[in-house]
Amino acid sequence: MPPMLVIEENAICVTLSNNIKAEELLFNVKDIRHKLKTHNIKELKIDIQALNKYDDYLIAAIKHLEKIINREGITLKFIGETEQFTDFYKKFNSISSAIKSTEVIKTNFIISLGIFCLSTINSIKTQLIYLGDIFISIGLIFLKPKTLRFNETVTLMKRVGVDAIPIIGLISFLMGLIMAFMSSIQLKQFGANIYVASLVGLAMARELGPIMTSIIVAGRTGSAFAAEIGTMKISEEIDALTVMGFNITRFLVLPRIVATVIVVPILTVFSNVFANLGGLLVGIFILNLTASSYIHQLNTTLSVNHVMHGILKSILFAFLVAEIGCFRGLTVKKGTEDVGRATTSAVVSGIFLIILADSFIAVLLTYV
Amino acid sequence: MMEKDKIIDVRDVKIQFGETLILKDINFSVYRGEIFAIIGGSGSGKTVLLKHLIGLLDAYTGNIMIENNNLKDIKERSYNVFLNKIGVAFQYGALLASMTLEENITLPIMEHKKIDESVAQDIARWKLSLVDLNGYEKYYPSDISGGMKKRASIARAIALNPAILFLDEPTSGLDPVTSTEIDELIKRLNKTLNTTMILITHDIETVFSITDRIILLDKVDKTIIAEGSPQDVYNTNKNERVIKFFERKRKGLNGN
Ligand SMILES: Nc1ncnc2c1ncn2[C@@H]1O[C@H](COP(=O)(O)OP(=O)(O)OP(=O)(O)O)[C@@H](O)[C@H]1O
Ligand SMILES: [Mg+2]
Repeated sequence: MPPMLVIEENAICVTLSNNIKAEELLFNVKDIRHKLKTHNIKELKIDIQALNKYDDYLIAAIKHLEKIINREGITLKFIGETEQFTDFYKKFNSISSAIKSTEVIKTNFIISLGIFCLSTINSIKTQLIYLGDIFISIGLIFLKPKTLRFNETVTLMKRVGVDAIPIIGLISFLMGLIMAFMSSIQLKQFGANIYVASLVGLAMARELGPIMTSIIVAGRTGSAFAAEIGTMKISEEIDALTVMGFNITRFLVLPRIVATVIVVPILTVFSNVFANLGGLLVGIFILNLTASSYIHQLNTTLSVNHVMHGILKSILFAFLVAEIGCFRGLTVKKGTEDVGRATTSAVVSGIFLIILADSFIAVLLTYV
Repeated sequence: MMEKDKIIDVRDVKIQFGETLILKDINFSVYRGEIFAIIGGSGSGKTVLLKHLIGLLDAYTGNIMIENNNLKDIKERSYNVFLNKIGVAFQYGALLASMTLEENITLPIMEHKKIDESVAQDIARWKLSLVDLNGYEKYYPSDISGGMKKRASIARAIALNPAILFLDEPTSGLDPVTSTEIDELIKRLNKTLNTTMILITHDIETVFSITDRIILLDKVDKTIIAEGSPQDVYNTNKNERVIKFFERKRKGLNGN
């Protein structure tokens, strides 16, 4: 039953029935406040004589009402309250008002700058330690081959490599097709149809092959590494491994990096082959070239150097992608949300690092 | 005593995951307003049974009746109404990691009640204070201890003042003082709001201090091997495995 409102001489009396719900009272708060205002009354009485059963929701609702009217200088008085009710009400009030907002350190520009610098230095330090650990572990493989978990690495190679062949093949094939098609429109005008073969072959071997492959691997694998390791982190698996005496870098990170570094160059070769097939198809059916002349042209432009250039780059990219994926996973601290963040960040920084490294190499080779 | 009405009635229930039989010949009733405990060794199927009672798992044959309605019908027709009436605290807390404790508790309140957010927050703080967690409103689950998570999940389970409260091992992993406080909280909620309590517990102390009736599940027989008030079971049941289960209690008594 909704509350009953009676306007007295210098007070408003609200009578609560026994089975009143908190919602019903809250629904009337606006009305009560309005009436108090229009009649310029400074006291609100709440009659709770009939109330012998009440839950914390009703108490919270009354408290809410009191807070609102108190703000306008109106006082609240209970009629017929039992000791029990008063106790409950007081206790409820003391709990919910005792809350202290979480301490915020007052900051100014200098302090924020300091905090920023310190955290940056810290994160660079952890990254360097992590990288150092990886290099030491890789070195250890040659001294003590057992450092590498062989079975795990092979399984990972399948997941990173074999399972990725269809998507990489398809994308590269289409890339070759598109590149040949687009360039043919221009080259046709000069009767230079045959150079389509050189263009597709060179571009794929030196730049696009390694980049496309590594980007796909970053999306497929870097993210998976981050999510796996991140989940292990929050479920305390990493802690468990640590206390069992495992070195996390050697146990989890090393197999992933080795598997990726072995497999990505191979994927790059696949990517080149499929792209050239795409180009060949366009050459034959659109540019009226013969297969043998296309392949001959490809053969004369493309040297082992070009192909090796691409493959060596892909090794670097693979390392970066796997390394950053695992690293992001290891930085997970809190809950599931953090895992999502780490996964996204693994892909984004993976792709960023690929492009950055590639530009760096391009500049280096041009000027040095 | 008043005429008792059955709030939950389980008849001839058999639970089986594929080929593996978990429980069979399960028959018991829970009466309105009582504190009922499901006890049994680790892996005896307590959690699985509980998840069936609240409709989360569906690997059973037989009938589970909630307030005289078949759970299967409830799930088809009025599962939301049912969920509104129950509160569940899971064995491992299951707090939402991306939200503060306060938000974890306000979430169901705002979903099911038409009240202002500030009121919901007041209630959340009140509920947290009931499990002795005042001051931790703004903490995230990852920043509190295991026992605190447990208590926070109990606070969330009682957020809506449910008619039936399911608690999966509410006091495991807690110190004796906090355990006693949780026991008292359960008892108090049961008294003041007439909440029916169904708890899973290993805690012999809890069993003897607050529960009205228990069933004991056995891993070998895969069924209920004892039923009744804890005192009765303790005093009169002659089953070897039942006696074994209460051995700790017996030792404790002799020691005193
Ligand atoms: N989804 C599932 N599929 C198959 N078997 C399961 C599944 N969930 C649980 N079980 C099996 O059911 C049995 C009972 O598990 P349950 O979690 O109910 O144990 P419990 O009595 O709650 O034990 P504890 O006290 O350790 O929590 C176990 O043997 C478990 O292997
Ligand atoms: Mg369990």
